[in-house]
This record gives sequence, structure tokens and C-alpha cells, in this order.
Amino acid sequence: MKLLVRVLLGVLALASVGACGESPDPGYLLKRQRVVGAIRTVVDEPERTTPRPGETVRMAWQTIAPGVVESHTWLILACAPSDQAFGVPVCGGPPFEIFTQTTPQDGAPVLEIEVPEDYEAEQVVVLGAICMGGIVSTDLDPTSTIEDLRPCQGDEGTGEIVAGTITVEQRPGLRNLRPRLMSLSLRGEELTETIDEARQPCAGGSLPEVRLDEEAELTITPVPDQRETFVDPVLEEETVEELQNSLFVTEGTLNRRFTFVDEGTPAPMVEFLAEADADDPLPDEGRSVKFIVVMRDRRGGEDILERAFCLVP
Amino acid sequence: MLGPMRDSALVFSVCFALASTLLPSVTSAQADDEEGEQAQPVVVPPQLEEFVEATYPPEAQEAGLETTVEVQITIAVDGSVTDASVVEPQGNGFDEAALEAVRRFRFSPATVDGTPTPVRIRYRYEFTLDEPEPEEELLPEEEVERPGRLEGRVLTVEDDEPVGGAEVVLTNEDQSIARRTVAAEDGSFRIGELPPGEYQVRILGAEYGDQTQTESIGAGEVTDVVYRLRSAAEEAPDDDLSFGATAVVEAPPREVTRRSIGREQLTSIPGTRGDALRAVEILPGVARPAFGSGALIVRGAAPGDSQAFLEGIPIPLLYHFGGLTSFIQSRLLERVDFYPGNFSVRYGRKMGGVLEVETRDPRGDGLHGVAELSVIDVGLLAEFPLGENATGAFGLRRSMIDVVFNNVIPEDLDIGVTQLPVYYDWQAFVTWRPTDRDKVKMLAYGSSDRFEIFAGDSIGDDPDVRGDISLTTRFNFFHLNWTRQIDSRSDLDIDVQYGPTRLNFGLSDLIEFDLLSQQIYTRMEYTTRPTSKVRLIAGLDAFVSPFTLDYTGPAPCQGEGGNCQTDLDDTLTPISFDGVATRPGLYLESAFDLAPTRLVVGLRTDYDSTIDRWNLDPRFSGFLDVGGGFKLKTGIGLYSQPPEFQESAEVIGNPNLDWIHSVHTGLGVEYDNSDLGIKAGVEGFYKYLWDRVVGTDNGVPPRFINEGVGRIFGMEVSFRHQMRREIPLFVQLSYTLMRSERRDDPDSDQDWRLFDFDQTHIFTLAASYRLPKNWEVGAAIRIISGNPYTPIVGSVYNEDRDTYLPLYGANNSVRNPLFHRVDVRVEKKWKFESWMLALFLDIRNVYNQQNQEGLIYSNDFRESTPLTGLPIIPALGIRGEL
Repeated sequence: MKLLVRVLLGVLALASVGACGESPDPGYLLKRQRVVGAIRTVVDEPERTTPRPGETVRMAWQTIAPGVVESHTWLILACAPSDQAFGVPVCGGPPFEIFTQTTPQDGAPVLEIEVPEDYEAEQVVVLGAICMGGIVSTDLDPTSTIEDLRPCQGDEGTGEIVAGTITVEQRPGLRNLRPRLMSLSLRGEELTETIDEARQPCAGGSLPEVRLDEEAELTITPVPDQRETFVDPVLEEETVEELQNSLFVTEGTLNRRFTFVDEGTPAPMVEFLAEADADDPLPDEGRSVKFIVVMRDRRGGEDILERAFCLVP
Repeated sequence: MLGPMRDSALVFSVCFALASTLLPSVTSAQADDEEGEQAQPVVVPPQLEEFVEATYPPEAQEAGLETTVEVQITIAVDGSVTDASVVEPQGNGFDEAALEAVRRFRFSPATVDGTPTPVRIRYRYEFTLDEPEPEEELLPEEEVERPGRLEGRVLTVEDDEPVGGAEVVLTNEDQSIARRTVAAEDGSFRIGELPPGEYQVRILGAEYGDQTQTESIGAGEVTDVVYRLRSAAEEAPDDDLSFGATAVVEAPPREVTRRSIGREQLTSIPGTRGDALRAVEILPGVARPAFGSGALIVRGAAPGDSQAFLEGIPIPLLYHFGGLTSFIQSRLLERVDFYPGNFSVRYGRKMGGVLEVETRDPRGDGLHGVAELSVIDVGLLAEFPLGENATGAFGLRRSMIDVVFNNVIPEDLDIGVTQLPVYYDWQAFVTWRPTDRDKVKMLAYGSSDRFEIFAGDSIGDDPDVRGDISLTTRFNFFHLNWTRQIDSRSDLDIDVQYGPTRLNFGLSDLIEFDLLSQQIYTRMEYTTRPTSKVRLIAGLDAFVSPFTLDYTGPAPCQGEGGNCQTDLDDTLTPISFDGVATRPGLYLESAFDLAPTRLVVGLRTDYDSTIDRWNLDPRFSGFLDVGGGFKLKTGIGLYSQPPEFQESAEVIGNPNLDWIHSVHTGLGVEYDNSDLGIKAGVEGFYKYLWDRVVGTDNGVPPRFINEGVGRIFGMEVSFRHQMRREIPLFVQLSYTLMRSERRDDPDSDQDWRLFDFDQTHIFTLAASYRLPKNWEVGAAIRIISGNPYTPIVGSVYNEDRDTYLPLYGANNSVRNPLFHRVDVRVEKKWKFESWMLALFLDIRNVYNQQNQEGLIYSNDFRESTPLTGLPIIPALGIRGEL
């Protein structure tokens, strides 16, 4: 009942926010470098996301930024889960792998986690800290609760405490393949270009253009026929995967934060709109906009695609 | 053996003189005849029609003293006594006794030439004692039927003003008049030397209407009553809306603290839109719920620790949609009684406070109706007689939210509304008096709320808040109450209620909560008064509910105190529960009237089938009347309640939980001056809670344990001025200073933390003033400490779902800013021959204060902005009454 009340209050609060003053920036607005996902691939079988005991799984964390992606440092560990029912994931025992990078590196963390031969749990918990543009804090006890973690040392950089899981294929029903994104389109035309840095002059260039105050339709197209059928552990019945798309733009508004690929929606769409803002006027030469989609099958499989277009007056 | 004063020994002597104010009438009579021969006026002296026995002063009687008191009496043109004074004091209490009696005399007025004329007379009141009767065999005490006495006051319903001059007539069973008297200026009356038995008492209040009650007079007992009559007219003489008289006999208190809101105030508190149950918010001890949600937060207790009752039966849902409007039309209510703590054994299974809602009997003096329309809802109500001994009422109400809903949803919130929020409620009441000893009340009522939206591919920053979001609540009950006066000392009260309840909530495929239950509730209470000083009560109340519950969703957790970080994705396998919840309770109570003290001792035992455990709660309260309207009161007792269903159910909870216990203590002083219409009080309280149910860390088995403790202490100050004819002003001032704390693991070095709903200062001032020409204005001011909350000090990125989980700081270590708000209400009535029209404007938060209720965070919890409460809400409405 308490969760019911929380959700209802959340819906009502959301409905009232428009009348109750300023609201925080929506989750799709990319204003800082941030972690957006992690792509899991079994080393010897990259299309599979679920390692078996004794196999090695590669976990490639994904970070995006409005501008140039800054360097990374990290401290991440892998362990067996505790028996908690909810809350921030914590280890049920000492980690079996610890990954440390205290020297700044350009790319986001790519971890190769070897699942022990005698591993019995159905999940590996991966948690730690990633510091972008700074040095990760190593002042932590890996077996303590995550509340004590500090992502970055001092005031340099942007840090995130991260947590995720890797499903271990202890039985065939847990096997999972990775979904793939095929394309992103603007008004039906495929977007093909990427940029290093958003908010750069672009009018008249190679990027497709969207006018200020003009609604533009963006379409997310996955590779067809890749939604797997599996037995849902909660409903205990056969279910076909839904693919969740997390959407990000560096400016403007989207009418959705998430879209879903399901039976009736093979290629979901979202509407983009940028309105004139007196505090941030759009110059005549326009501004480049990054559009990023991270697709998840909610069973450990992910893909990411980044494209760009130009916003013009 | 001394006897009472004999009527026949009185000497009646009249010596009248015209008072100076009487002269003009005689002078004018003389002037008329100036031209001709001066005629002598014909003067007829006043005749005593209603004699009133004086009370023989006890000490003088014991000393065998006798005397005659000469009293000067001024008699008005209607024969009533307007002034009386002793010519020559006799002392020994005789003067006061004589004055008290003669002031209640009634005369036929003096006349001059046939015109009633005020006069002043001298009257000699003799106090004589009977000769002792010859010795006779003394019968055993129990075989001598000592006479009893009926005494009390006649007051008005609206403002407790005395109805001086009201006639009180006692008739025997054969309808012959036994005794008759007239209430004094202060509304008091006394009829002594009544043979034990049953009498019909008729109170004739002239413009206040009349009423009939049945009273049982016990041998050697004093029956103390208060009769309340409704005024048929208000200020202007052409107002003529007689609704008939009602009389309420007040029972002596069983609780240390009871705060009541009567019918007149129930629907006129500013900011409540005429909602009677909302009026409780102005009483001391009641904390403010966030967003006006309607949760009942009493003396630092959680909302689930308090209970509202309708005619003694628990109400499942007090408000539509969690706080919008109460489930019953306010005009069907007689009174709302609020017990913030130390309540009697009549109520069990709760540790917080009790709200008892009492309905009124439908009017039987013809067809009456009310139709009301406002921006919130539209309602109809009708009352009518059903034969000679029965009356009925029917009410229906529907919300108007769906009309305005679409206009308040932000445009960029892309949701589809499948079912606009709509609520209904209905009531059908019948009151029947088949005999003088029996009263039967049948209440049928129900409520329905529905709301469904389609959020499409999610709204907000949680990917799981999508698809259909729906809420349905529905209940329909039939309640039968039978009250029987068994004999002069005992009565029986039986309640039975039955009805289905449905509660359904859905959130896509992630949460589905569907509860269907048949609720059966019964209460039987037997009251007996073996002597005038002792009252005994034995009661049984039982709750039986077959139910089915289907649940899909995250594991339940203990939300209070922040130990619940359930993610919507933490979904359990669907669970079904099918069973019968049984909760019987037995209670015994004894009240001892040892004037000036009164002691109430009670014992209650309850059983709960979910945890298969019994519980025993003893309780005590004491009152001391120190005179001058002051009363001291104290109470101590155990109050226990069972765990919530989800805390003790198999699979999701811990079936080995025990009852949660608390001890309530209270000490205070009350002042009551009904002449001035003032009530005031100061009360201190302390509560200690143990065996509180708390959740384990992150829900590890056994998920819930009885290891929490709590403490609540504070002080309440209250002042009330009732609206009265002389001063048509209602004022209710309440101030509570309080601290409510919890510890979830007392064995550790954990400090006490603030309770989620702790509000240190709660100040409320509500006032209404009745202006001429049927205007009424009112305002309510609230200044309340902000609720505590737990700050979010960081976040964890949950890569599996692309969401962030908050990291919390110290529990409830920060407070929202001070809350303040002013509500105003204006109402204008137009009274016509047989109906009335009212236009009202109720503005909540008149200066649109942006009170912070919490914080809205960005999806990564790095930024926050204040989440403010409800803005200014004007509610304009129109009401017609037949």
C-alpha cells in the first residue's frame, strides 16, 4: 500500500509540477558526462551476454557527454549477490575480482570478468565507482555497503557510483543474446553522422537540419526479429522480450524519456522539439545536437547508437 | 422524622405597588378621561399559577429551623418573574432558597382595565417543618422506595445558551401530569420527590419547539440531564425556518479527553469546503497531512495507528482519492468526537487516536431537501417522515473533477486518460421507534472512486511507470443498530454491519493489487447502573472478513523511517491470499461517581487470527471537579494494535510477529463555562511504544521484526468560544507542542530519530462570525512546523534499468520550512417562506503561499527544486435547502 501511495503521489506530483513552478531537468537532457550503460559479451561468443561458470564475460561500460568525452579512472569489483529483497545491490561476500584504474584513460572501463568454475549464484553483482575527468577514490572497503563510496578524489571530475548485474547461465532458460540497433532516423531519413562535440556551428553543413519550434520525428529501428522468447521468472510464463530504449539529447525536448519495442511497435518514434529560449538564443549558424539511444532487453543485453543533427533558427 | 416543607402552610399575602415604570400606562388611562369625569381603573392583581418548591436548606433543616422570607417580586406582562429580592434577610440559606424558587414562579399577569401590566408585589415564603410522624416499624432499607429526583438544564443546540422559562412537564404512564416546573434563567430545573418509575418528559420551549423524552427515575437517585432545543428562528423575526426540536442527553465522560465539533460548526470551518471530517484538522493534537491528503495523524502517531468510526463501526476509507472529500455528506452528521488518546476500552486495536462520527436522525416534520453544486462535486439530500414513528433520508453525490481534470494536466505530459477521476457516494438512513423503549437505525451507505490513465511508453524518469495506471476503491455497507432500554437501570445497544469492499490498483504488468473482501462487523454493549454512583458496561465487538487478495509487485517494506528502497523492478512472483480475518474483542468498564471525583476503570482483550495471538489492555481515567467550572483529569492505559496484513502475511511478511504495544498517560485541566459559551483546556501527554514492527535491512528474512520503540510527548492548549445569540462568534484556538521519536534497533547505539510525521509546533486559529442579514464570514490560520525528511546525499546508477537509486543521509535529519496558510469562507443565505438559498465561497490558501512539502530531484538526484503544496483553491458553490 505504501508503494501504491508513492506511485500515486509521484503521478500527481508530476501532474502538478507544471503548475507548481520550476522542475529539474528531465533525464533525457544530456548536460554532463555520464554513464549510460554497459555492454556485456561473452569473450568466446560475443552475441551471448550470459557467461557460464568458468567463462569470461567482457563488460564494456558506456559513457556519453555533450562535448568531448573526458578521461576515466575507476574502481570496480565483482562479487556474488546478497539475499536482500530490494535496495542498492550489495555483495553477499568478498569480491572475486577487483578492477582498478587510477591513471586517467581515454576510454570507459572495459572489464573482463572471469566467473569462477564453482560459482553457484545466478547473478554476478558488479559495483564500483567511475570518475570522469578526475582520479577515482580508492578509500573504500569492498565488502562494506556502497553508501561509503566516494567516486572522485577531491573536487576534480564527475563521478558516478555504478551497480549492475551479469546473469550467469546456470541453466539453459537463463541464456540471453544481445540485441542490436540498426538505425536512427530523422523524419524518415537515416541519420549517419556522429560528432565529437555538440553545440557547434553546423548550419549549411552535412548534418540534417531541424528548425526551431518545429516538431521532428525521430525513429529508433532495431535489427528485426531479434526479440527472444523466455520464461519470465516473475510471471512464470513464456514471454517475448520488450526492448527498452533510453533516449538522450543535448538540447531541446523529447515527449518521452523511454520508448519500447514490442509486438505492436517494431520501430518506436519520439518527437523532438526545441523552442526559443531568451537565456540561450540560437545563433544563425545553428547548433549541433547529439542524439543517443541505448537499447536494453532488460536481461543483460544492450546496444548503443549515437548520431547528430543540426538545430537551426 | 422530619418531613419536607408543606405547601398548605404557605401564607400568601399580596401588597402591590406600582413601579415607576408602570406609571405611564395608568397616567395615560387617566389622561384619556381628563375631559370627562375621572373613572377609576379596574385593577386585577396577578394570580400565582405555577408554584415552585424551594429546597429546604439542609443545615437549617437538620437544626430544625423555620422562618418566613419576605420577597419583593416584579412580574412582567406575561406573568413571568423578572426580578426578585429579599426584603429582610433571614440567613441560614433561607433567603437564597426562597429567591431561587420564586424566580421560577409563573403568574397570570396583573391587568389594569383588562390590559396586562407589569407589577411589583411582596410575597411571604414560609419555611416550616412537619411534625414528626409517629414511630412506625422501620422496613428494611431495600423495601422502602425512596423518591428520586430529576434535575438538569435546558439549552439550545446551536450555542448551549440556556432556555430560561422552558416548561418541563412530567407525565405518568397513563398520561396524567405528575409534575410540572419551569426552567430558571440559567436553564436549570429540578423536580424532586418523584416516585421511582418511568416518566415522559415534555420540554416546551416556546419558539424553541418542544420535545419528548422518556426518563427512568430510580429510588433515591438523582437523574441529571441536559436537554438541547433547536431555535426555530434566528435574529430577524421574519426568519421562520422551524426544523423541530432535538434533545441530546449528555452521558458522563469515559475518556480523559474528548473534543467534539457540533453540527453547526461541522460545515462552516473555513478551508474545509464544508466537509465535516476535515473540521478535525483544527483540533489540538491533529497534525497536518502533506498535500492535504486526509491522513489522520494524531499526537505523533502514524496514520495507520488511528481509526475513524461511523456509529461505532470502523470506516475503511475516510476520503475519496486519499483526501479530496469525505465519503459521507456532512449534513447527515450530528457530531464528530475526537479522542486523541487515553480513549475508553470501547475502542481497540489502535494505538493512536479515535474519530467517532455520529449521524443524526432524519427530520420528520415534513419533506426537506438540499441540493448543492460546487467546482468539486454536486450533491442531493432528502429527508422525510415515514409514518408516525419513523423518518428517512437519502443522499447522493458525484464529483466534478472529471470536468476540470484535463485543464490541469500539463500539455507536455503525454498521457491518455482512459477513465477520468470520478467519485460517487450515497447514503440511505431510516430511524424507527417501534416503542418508547426501542430505537432502530438502519444505515446503508457506499462510496466509489475510479481513475485510469494510459501512460504509454512511460512518463517521467522511471521506465516502469508506463502502460495502464488504474485505481478503483469501492465499498457498500448495510448497518443495523438497535438500542433498547431494558429497564430503568439498564440498556442494550447492538450494531451489525455487512458489506463488500474492493480495492484495486494496477501499474502496467509490474504492480497489481486486487483485494476483495466481505466485511462483517458486530458490536454489542450492555450498560447497567446498579446504583446512582456506579455504571457497568460489558461489550463485545468482532470483525470477521473473508477476503481474497491477488498481488504482483515488489516485496512490501516498512516505509516509515526510510528503510524502504523498493525498486519497481524488484517484483515478486504473483501471490494469492484467500482467507478469513477474524478479530474479536471483549471489554468491561466500570465508572464510579464519587462526587467530586469520577473514576473509570476498563479492561479489554482482543484476538487476531493473522498472528494467532491474544492481547490484554487495562485502562484507567480519573476526573476531579474542583468547582468553578474547572476539572482535573488524568489517565493511563495500554493500547495495542496488530501488525499490518502485509507485515504478518506468509511469503511477504513474518507470521510470527506479535502485537504492537503502547502506554498512554495524560494529565490536564479543563474549564467549562456554558453560560459564557467557553471551553478551554491544557493537557500534557506521554506515550511510549514498544514491539513496533520494523523492516530488516533490505528486506532480508524474516523481513519484519518487533524490535522498534517510540516515544511521544507534548502539551496541548485549546480554547473554544461557541457561537451564541449575544456574541455570534465561533472561535477555536489550538496549539500543540510535541516531539515524536523512534528507534528501530534499540539494542544498537542508534540514536532516537524524528518520526516521519513529527511536527513540533501546530498552531491553528479558526473563527466564524455571523453578521446581520444572514451573512457569515470566517477564517482559519495555520502555522505548523515543516515535516522532517531524510536528505538524499548521493545516488547509485542502476545500470540494469538505466535509473538511479538514492543514497540517504541520516533519517529525518532535515525539516521542510515552516508551513503557514490562511483559508477564508464567506456565505450568504436568502431565506424564503419554505426554502433557503445559500451562496458560498471557500478559499483555501488565500494568499497562495508556496509551502514546501518536499523536494523534486533530477533523475540522478544531483539537483533538486522545492515541491510545493496545493496552491490557492477557490471553491464557489450554491446550495438550496427545502
